[in-house]
Amino acid sequence: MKNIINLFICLFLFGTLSAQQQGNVSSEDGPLPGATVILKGTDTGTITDFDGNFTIAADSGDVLVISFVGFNSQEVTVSGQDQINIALVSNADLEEVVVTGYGTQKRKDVTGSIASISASQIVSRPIGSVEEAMQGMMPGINLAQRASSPGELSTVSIRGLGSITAGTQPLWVVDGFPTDQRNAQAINPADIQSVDVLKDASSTAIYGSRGANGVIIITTKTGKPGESTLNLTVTNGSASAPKSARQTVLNSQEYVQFHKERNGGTIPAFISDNWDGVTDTDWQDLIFRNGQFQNYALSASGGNEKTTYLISGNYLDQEGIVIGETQKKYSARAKVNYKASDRVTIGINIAPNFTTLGRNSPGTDDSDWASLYAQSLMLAPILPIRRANGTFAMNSDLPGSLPVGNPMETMGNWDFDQSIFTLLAGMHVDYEIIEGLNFKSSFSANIGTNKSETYYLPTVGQTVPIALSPVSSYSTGQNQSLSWLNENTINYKKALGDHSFDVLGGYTLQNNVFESVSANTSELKVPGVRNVDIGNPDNRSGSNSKTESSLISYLGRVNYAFKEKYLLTATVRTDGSSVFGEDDRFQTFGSAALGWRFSEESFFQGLNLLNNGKLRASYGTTGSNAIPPFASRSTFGTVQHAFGGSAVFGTSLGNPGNRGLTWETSTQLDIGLDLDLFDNRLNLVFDYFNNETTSLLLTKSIVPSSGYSSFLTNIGSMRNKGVEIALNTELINTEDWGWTLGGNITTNDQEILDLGGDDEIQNFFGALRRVVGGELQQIRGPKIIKIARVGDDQTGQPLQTPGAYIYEDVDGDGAISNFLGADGQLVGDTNVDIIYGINTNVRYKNWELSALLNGQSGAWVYDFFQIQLAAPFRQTNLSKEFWYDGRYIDEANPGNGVTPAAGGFDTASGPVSSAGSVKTDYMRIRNLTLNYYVPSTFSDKLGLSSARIYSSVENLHTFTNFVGGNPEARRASGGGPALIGGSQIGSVTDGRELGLNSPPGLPMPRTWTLGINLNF
Amino acid sequence: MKINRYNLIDLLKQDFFKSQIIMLCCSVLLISTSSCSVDFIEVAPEDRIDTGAFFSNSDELVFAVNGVYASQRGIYGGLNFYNLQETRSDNVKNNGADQKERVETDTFEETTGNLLLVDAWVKNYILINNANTVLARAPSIPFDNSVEEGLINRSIGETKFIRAMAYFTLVTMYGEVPLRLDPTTDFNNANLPRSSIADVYAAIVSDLNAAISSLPDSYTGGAFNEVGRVTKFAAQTLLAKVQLQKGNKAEASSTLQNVIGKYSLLANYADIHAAGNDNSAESVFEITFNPSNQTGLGLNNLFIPSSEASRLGISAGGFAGILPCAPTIDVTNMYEVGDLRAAASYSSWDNNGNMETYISKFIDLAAAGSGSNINLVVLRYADVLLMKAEADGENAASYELINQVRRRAFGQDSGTLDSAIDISAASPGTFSEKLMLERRREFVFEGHRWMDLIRLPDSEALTIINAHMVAEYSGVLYGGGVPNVDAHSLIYPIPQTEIDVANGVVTQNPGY
Repeated sequence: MKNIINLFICLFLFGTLSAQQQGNVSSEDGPLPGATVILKGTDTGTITDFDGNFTIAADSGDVLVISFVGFNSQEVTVSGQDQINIALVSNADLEEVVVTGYGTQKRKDVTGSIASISASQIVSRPIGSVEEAMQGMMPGINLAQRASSPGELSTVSIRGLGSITAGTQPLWVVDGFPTDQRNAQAINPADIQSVDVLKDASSTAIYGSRGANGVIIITTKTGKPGESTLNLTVTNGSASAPKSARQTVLNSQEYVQFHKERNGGTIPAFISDNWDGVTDTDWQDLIFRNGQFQNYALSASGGNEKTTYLISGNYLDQEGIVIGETQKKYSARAKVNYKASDRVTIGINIAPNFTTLGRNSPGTDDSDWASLYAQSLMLAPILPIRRANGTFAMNSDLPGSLPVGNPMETMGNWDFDQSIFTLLAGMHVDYEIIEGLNFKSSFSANIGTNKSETYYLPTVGQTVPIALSPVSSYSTGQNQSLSWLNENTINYKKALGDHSFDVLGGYTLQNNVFESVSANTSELKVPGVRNVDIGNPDNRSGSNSKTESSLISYLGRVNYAFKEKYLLTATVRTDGSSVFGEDDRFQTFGSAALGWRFSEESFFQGLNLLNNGKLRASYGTTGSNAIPPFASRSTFGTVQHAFGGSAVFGTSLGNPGNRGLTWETSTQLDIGLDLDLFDNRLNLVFDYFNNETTSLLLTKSIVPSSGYSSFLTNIGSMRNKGVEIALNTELINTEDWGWTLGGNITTNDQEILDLGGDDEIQNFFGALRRVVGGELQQIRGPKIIKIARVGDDQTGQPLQTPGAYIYEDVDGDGAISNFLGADGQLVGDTNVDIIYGINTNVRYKNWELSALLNGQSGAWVYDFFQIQLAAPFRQTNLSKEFWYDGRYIDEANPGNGVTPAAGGFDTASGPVSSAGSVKTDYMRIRNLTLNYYVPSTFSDKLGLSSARIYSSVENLHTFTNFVGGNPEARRASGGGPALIGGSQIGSVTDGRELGLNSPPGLPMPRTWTLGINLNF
Repeated sequence: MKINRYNLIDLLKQDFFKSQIIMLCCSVLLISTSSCSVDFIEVAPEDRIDTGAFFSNSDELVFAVNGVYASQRGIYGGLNFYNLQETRSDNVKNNGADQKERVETDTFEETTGNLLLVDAWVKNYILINNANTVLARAPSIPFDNSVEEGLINRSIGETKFIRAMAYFTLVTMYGEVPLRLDPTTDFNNANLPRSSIADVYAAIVSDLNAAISSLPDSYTGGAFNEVGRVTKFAAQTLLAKVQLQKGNKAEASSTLQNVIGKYSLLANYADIHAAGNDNSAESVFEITFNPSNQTGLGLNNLFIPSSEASRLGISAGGFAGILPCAPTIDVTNMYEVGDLRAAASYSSWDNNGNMETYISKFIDLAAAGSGSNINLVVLRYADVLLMKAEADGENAASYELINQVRRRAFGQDSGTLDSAIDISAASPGTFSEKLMLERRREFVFEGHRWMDLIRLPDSEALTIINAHMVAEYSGVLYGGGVPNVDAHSLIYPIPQTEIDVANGVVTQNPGY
C-alpha cells in the first residue's frame, strides 16, 4: 500500500512560479495547432493555438515535452531562448500504435501477436467490405470466400479452426463494441482507420470467453483538431466472370461424342431422338453478365481543441456477375468528441447502415441445385433455350436425365429480396481523475433488422425441376436483434524512473435479444400478389422465436516495462454467461506475456543495422461460448396432429439439454520475434503458435434406444500449431523511385486429439469424418489406383473393363466395398495447411503500382457436384476438364491415366471415392492497383489539397487445378437427389461442411474499376 | 478455474495477481455493480416450453399424449417403415433402380448399418421415450375435479396402448430389444441390454391390460374427446393380435369376443381408405393424416409414377421414373374374377408402351403439397373377423367369419349367404392356406403381410419367401442364382449404431 501512496504523492506535485517561454510547433505540412506542451515531471501544460504558437511558464533548465497524436514526442530544454521552434516528426513504424482491446499500445511495447492493416491499404480497392481487404495482407488470418455473390460473408478464421461444433468465427469488435461479422461488413471501408487482429492468448485474453477464435478490432477514423478535410471518392467499374474462371463444360459435339462412347459406339436414343444436330447452347453465356460496380464515399472531418467530428456517407451499388444478383448499401457515420472540461471528454458515434440484396434463383450462394449457375452447368448443350412450342426446354426432355430446370425460366419464376438494417451507436465519457488515471464509461447499442421475402411461381405444365417445388409459394420473414453493452474501465498509466506501468481494470455487461418471425404459404391463388392470405389456407404457416443471452465480465490487465527493455503483460478476465448450464456459468481466463527488446541492450547499441529487435512469449487461456442460447435447457417442441378432421395441438420432447454445459477453453502458447533492420527497411515478424482447445462442445452419441441420438456436452480436444512469418522490405526509396516488397506465410498443423472416447464422428453419412489423430474433417472413400488398361494384371481384384477405375483393395477380399466398408480410406483432409500473401508496390514520381497475390495449399474437398450430380450417369452436361479431356478412349488413346472412359465410371464405389476428393490449392492475383497522384501544382488550381486517380482490378486471375468456379466454395446440398453409392437416405441437411462442395460455387468475379479521390 | 458466484476479490487473492493496484481498481468498480450479476445472467426462455415447468395440469398432459400419437404418424407414414413391413413381403417388389438400402431390405441382403432399420428403431424409441415421459409425469399432475382426474387416467391408458404398439412392432421386427419403461434422463448411463422376448411381451400385455381397464368404449367428440383416440376395443383388438402372434389362440379368441359386433364391415371395400372417410364403422384404430394442419399423408404418392400422377391430376407427384414399391406378379394373379379388391388395390399405367402395375389403394385425387387426406387404418373390423377365425381354427363359424369378409369383397351383403362366393372346408387347400390367402387379399399393401408371414411356422414362411424371390427377381436383379433366404432373415438385425454406442452391452441377432 505504501507504494500507492508514494505514487499518488508524486502525482500531486506542482511546479512553482516561473518565467514565460514562447514557442511554435510545426510539422512538415506547416503549423501544428492543438499540440500539447507540458513541463516535464509536472502536469502543467498548454496547447498550441491555430498558428502553432504557445506560451508556457518555464525556467531555464526545465524540460518541455511536446506531443501530438501521430507524431513522435520531443523534449526541449529551456535555456533562455526567445522563441523555441519545434518541428515534430511523424511517427515512424516503430511508433505505430496498436489497438489492443480496451486500450492502445505502441507497437514496440506489444508482447502479444497482433497484425494490423491501415486505411491506406484499403482505400483504393474495389471492395464492398473490410473482409476483402484483409485477405492475404496479414499472417494467420484466413478469409475464405465461400460464396462470391455480392453481400455474402466470408468465412474468417484465425490460426486455423479451433472448434468442431461451437463457432470458429473470431470476435469482431467495431469501435469497442463486440459484435458480429455482419456489422463489420456493414462499415464503409473508407471510414476505417485500422484493423487490428489479436491472435495470441496474451492479446485475446482481455476478451475472455469470446477470445478463443481471435479478435478482429476495427477502428473508424476520428476527426483531428485543426485539420478540416473534405474527402470525396468515386469508383466505377464492372465485374464479370472471365472464361478462365468458369467451369468449362462440353459443347454439343463433345457431349454427343461422350455419350456415344458411353453407349458403346452408337449415339443413344435420348440424343438422336431429341437433337436437331445443330443446337449448341452455351448456358453460362445466358446467365453471366457484366455487373456494374459503383461506389461513392464522402467524408468530412475536423475540429478544434474542444470538439472533433467526422461525418461520412457512402453509397455502394454492386451488381453480381449472374443476372439478378444485386447489392445496394447505404451507410453513414457521425462521430463527435467534445472536451467538456480539461478532464472530461464525451463522445458519440452513430453508424446506420441499410443494405439490400436481390437474387433470382434459390440459394445461389447457399445450398441449392436450382441456382442459375448449377442449372447452366448441368443443362445439356444439345437443348435449345425454348422448345418448338415456345416453352422453355429442360433436361427432362431427354429421357432418363436428371430434370434440371432452365435458368432462363427459373430467373423469371423466382425472386428473392433481403434488406438489412444495422445501427451501431454508442456514447462514452472519459474522466481523467488525475494525470494518467482515466475512468471511461460507455453505453452502446447495436440494433439490427433483417427482412427477407421469397416469391416463386413455377411454370404451369412443366416437369418439376430438381430442387424446385411443383407449387407456387411466398414467404416473408423478419428478425430483429437488439444488443446493448455497458463498459466501465479504469486505466492508470505511470512511468517511475525505469519502471512504467499501464494498468487496466474493467467491468462490462452485455445483453442480446434476438427475435424472428416468418410466415409462408403455397399454392398462390392470385399470382403477383405478395400476401400470405393469397395462398391455400391449408398451407399457411407462421413461426417465431425469441432468444436472449447475457454476459457479465470483470477484466484486468497490467502492462509493465522496465527500462523499455523488459516487458510484461498480464491479463485476467472472468466471464459469466447465461448460455451455459446453471452449474457452470462462470469461468476465469488469463494470460501472461514477456517481451525483451534486446536491441536496447548495450551490446547491440553499436550495431547500426538493427533498429529494433524484440523477443516475445505468451501463454494463456481464452474461451468460446458460441452456442445457441438455451442449448443447455431441456425443452418440449410442438407438433401438429389430428383425430379425424379435428386438428389437435401436441408436444413432444425436443432438445435434451445439459445442465453441465460449459465453455470451450483454448490454451495457447506463442513465441515471437520482431526485427527491424537496415534503417527500418526490412521488417520481420515471426511467430510460433500452439493452440489447444479442450472441453470441446461436441454432440456425444447416445444409444438410439434412449430416444435421443446425441446430446451436447464438453468432451474432446484439438490442436492447431504452426508458424507465421511476415516480411516487409523497402528495396528502393528515392525521391523519384520507390519499391516495397512484402509477404507473409502461415502454416497450420491441425489435429483432433480426443473425441470424448470415440474414435470418430461421422458426418454426411460417413463420407466425411472427424477422426482422432486427423484434421478437423476427413474425406473417406475407396482409393483409385489407376485406370484399367487392356492386359492389366487384375489378380485379386474385381475385373474391370478397360477405362474403368481400379480401386485399392485394402482388405484384399477381391471385392471393393463402398466408402463405409473396409476399402474406404482417408482420401483427403480439409485443413488449409498453408496460406500466404505477397504484396508489392512500385512508385515512380506520381505513379504508383501495387499488386497483391494470395493463395492457399493443403485442403481437399469432396466435390459432390462433379462426382454425384453432374456425373456421366445423370446425362447432365459435364465438366470438360473433369470428365472429357484426357479420358480413356481406347488403347490407342489411353488418355491421361486419371480420367476414366465415358462408360468407365461405376456407380457402386465411384461416387464416393478418391475421384471426388479434389485439392483446393490456388494462387490468386488478388488485386492490381495503379495510382496517379495529381501534382499539387495542378490540384491547387482546382482548390484541392490533393487528388488521386486510380484504376484497380480485383481477382485478376486464379491459378488452380481445382475444376470449376471457386476453390474456396464449400456447400452442403439442401435438396435434390440423394447420395449415390452406399448409404443413401435423404438429402444433406447438416450445414456447410468443411469437406463438401455440393452445388457448384460461382466463380470469383473479376472487377475492374476506375476511381478518383479528391481532398478539398 | 471456476469461481463461486461473483466473488472476484477472493479469486484475485487466491489465484491471480497479488498486485494491490489492480485490486484497488477492481474494488472501486465492483462496489456499485456486482450485486446483481447472477440475476443478470439468469435468462429464461420465453418462446419455448421448458421441460421442468411442463405437465402442470391435465390439459398439458393431453397435449403430450397428442404428441405421442403424432409420433406414430412419423413411423407409419414413412416409406422406410413401409418397406420393412410390406415391401419385404411377397406383396410388393422394388424395381431395383431404387436406392440401394431399400433394395437390400427387399432382397434380404441388408447389412447391420442399413438406415431403414435405424430409422424404424429410432422413431419407435423416440415414441417410447415420449410415452415414458408422459407415464412418469402423469401420476403427479394435480387435478381439481373428476373430469380432470378422468382425463389423466384416460391419458395413461392411451399412452400405454401406443407404447405397447411400439414394443410389439419392435419385438416382431428385432426380437429381443432393450425394454425401457422410464424416460431417459441420465445421458451418461443410458446403455441398456436387450430383454428377452418373453419379458417384452409381458410388458406389452401388461400395458394393454392397463389400457383396457382405463379406456372408454367410444368418444363423444369435441375438444379433448376427439373421435379417433384409442378405445377399449382397440386395445382389446391389439391385445388379441399380440396373443395370436405369440401363439395363444384361445386367449386371442376370448379377447376378440369382446369386440365382435362392436363394428361392422363397410359395404364398399374401396371406401375403407377413401380420402376423408375418417373413423368409419369398420375402423378400430387408425392413424390420422390431415392436410388441413400440415399433417397430410405423403407416402401414398410415392407409389404413383409421376407421369400417372400428372395424368390423374394429382399435383403432388411421386418419384420420377423410380417406383420404390410396386405390386408383385403374384399379387396381381391372386384375385378371383369379380373380387372388387383387385381394382381397389392396384392399377395399370403406361410405361413408355409397357403396361405396368402400381399401388393405387391410397389415392387422394385432391392431394396437394400438404399431402393426402387419407388415414392409415391399422386395426379394422375385417381383421377382427379374420383373427377370430384364425384363433378358433377350422369350423363352420370360422368359415362364416371369412365369408363375411369375402362377400363384401364381391360387392355383396356380408351377412347374406352366397354359395358363389362362400368357401367351406370343402374348398381346396388347408384352412390355414385359405385363411392366409384371404388375409393377403384383404389387407394387401396395408402393412400386415410381413407380420402374417412370420406368424407362420418358419419353414412355411421361408418357402413362400423363397418362391417369391425366384418369381420376382430371377433374371431381373440376379442372373441365375437368387440367394436363398434362411430363418435368420425372419428378424432384422439390431441397428449397428445401437451396438456400437452401447459398447458391448447390446448384442446382435444371430446370422448378422
